[in-house]
Amino acid sequence: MATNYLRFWGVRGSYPAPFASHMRIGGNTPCVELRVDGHVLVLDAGTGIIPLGQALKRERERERLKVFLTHYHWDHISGLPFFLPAFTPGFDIDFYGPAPSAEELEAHIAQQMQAPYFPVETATWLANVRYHAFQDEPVTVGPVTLTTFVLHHPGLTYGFRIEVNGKVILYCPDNEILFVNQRIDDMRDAFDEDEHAVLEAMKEEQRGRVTEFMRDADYLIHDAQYTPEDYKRKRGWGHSCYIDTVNSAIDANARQLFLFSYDPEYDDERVDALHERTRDIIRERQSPLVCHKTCEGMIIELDED
Amino acid sequence: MTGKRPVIVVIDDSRASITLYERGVEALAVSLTTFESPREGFRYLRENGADLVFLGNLMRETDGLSLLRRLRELEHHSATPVVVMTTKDYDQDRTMAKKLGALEYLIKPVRSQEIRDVIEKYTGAERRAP
Repeated sequence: MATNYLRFWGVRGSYPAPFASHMRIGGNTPCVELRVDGHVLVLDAGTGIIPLGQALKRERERERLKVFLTHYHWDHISGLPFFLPAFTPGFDIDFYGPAPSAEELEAHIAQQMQAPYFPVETATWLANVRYHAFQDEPVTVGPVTLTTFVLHHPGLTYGFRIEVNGKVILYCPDNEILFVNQRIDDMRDAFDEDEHAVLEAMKEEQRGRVTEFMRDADYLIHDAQYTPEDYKRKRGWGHSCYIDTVNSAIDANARQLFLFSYDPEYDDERVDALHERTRDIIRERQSPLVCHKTCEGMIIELDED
Repeated sequence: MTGKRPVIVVIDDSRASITLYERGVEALAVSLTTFESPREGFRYLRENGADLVFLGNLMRETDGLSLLRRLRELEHHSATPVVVMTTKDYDQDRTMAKKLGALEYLIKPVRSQEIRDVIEKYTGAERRAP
């Protein structure tokens, strides 16, 4: 296996989908491993972190782990009660997440394992565990620099901008990118004629913000949860329509887009169709963007290009 | 509230939203101070009071509720009237804003008339003389 790579251990949004009809894409919730020069960085701790933990325990050479949490919704932390390295002496684990203090971050992680929700608490973890609330400064791990930015999702949710060996990885698993634009379109009649120009400016501003954070990303891992029909029903749930995601990635000149956080109701065929539609859009817009149908187990070598 | 103009502070990194605030106060006898940088806005509020603060919730530098939490830690802003105006139409954020003492949680886009109504409601601001 390559030295430096991204590996997808969980790509589903919201809740696990361990259904026969979903297995080609995979049913685990968000977890992505970034391995660079022997450093192991884990992005989110959904159920995908369970098989990652099993693999790391077998490997045993990599006992220093950094786990970065975007937020604490269940689909992003529910693998931790079953994360074997945490229960194994000799492992050294740093958790990073959004919180006013390290103590509050620790509490956010610990609460889901307290009685009566789980039989053993984080106090039983045998690894050497440390907690770090994200600060304004970037986190540096070997050649990797990770900075956070705020995403459009319920509660405080971060996206990660990861720079490594001249490449930019953006991790935005849950992000409703064009909420306000759709709302403005719905509400236009309620505004005076002379306010319409301001509303247009607001829409343009939002489009600009989205392309600004995606600009020139080499690897853009982004929420693409809903079809346009489902987004109409689920606007305000904190996730994007995949068509908005692919169009924004094109506008931002991103190089590779990894569709992520699929709706757990979508089976493999539905995700195939969704991915095919993104390819149509890319062709229609004559864009060089490469759009991946991200599935569990996919490995992207970072040294390839 | 005659003689003294209520001081309104807006922290929101959306230029278009600031324009709506500016239109909203046009007819009111208030003093409006706006900040597109949350850091600068917080620095200002650390040193100054306000009769009403409007906060965006989704800003590039930080989220408005984290800013509100820090604001509440300042003794002179522990009870300052705060209204959150945001694109985040989510219950989780609404609940947190309420816990931090926000008076209202408004979803963008908000009409300038509505901004005017909120200012009048919470500050008793008077209309400017024509």
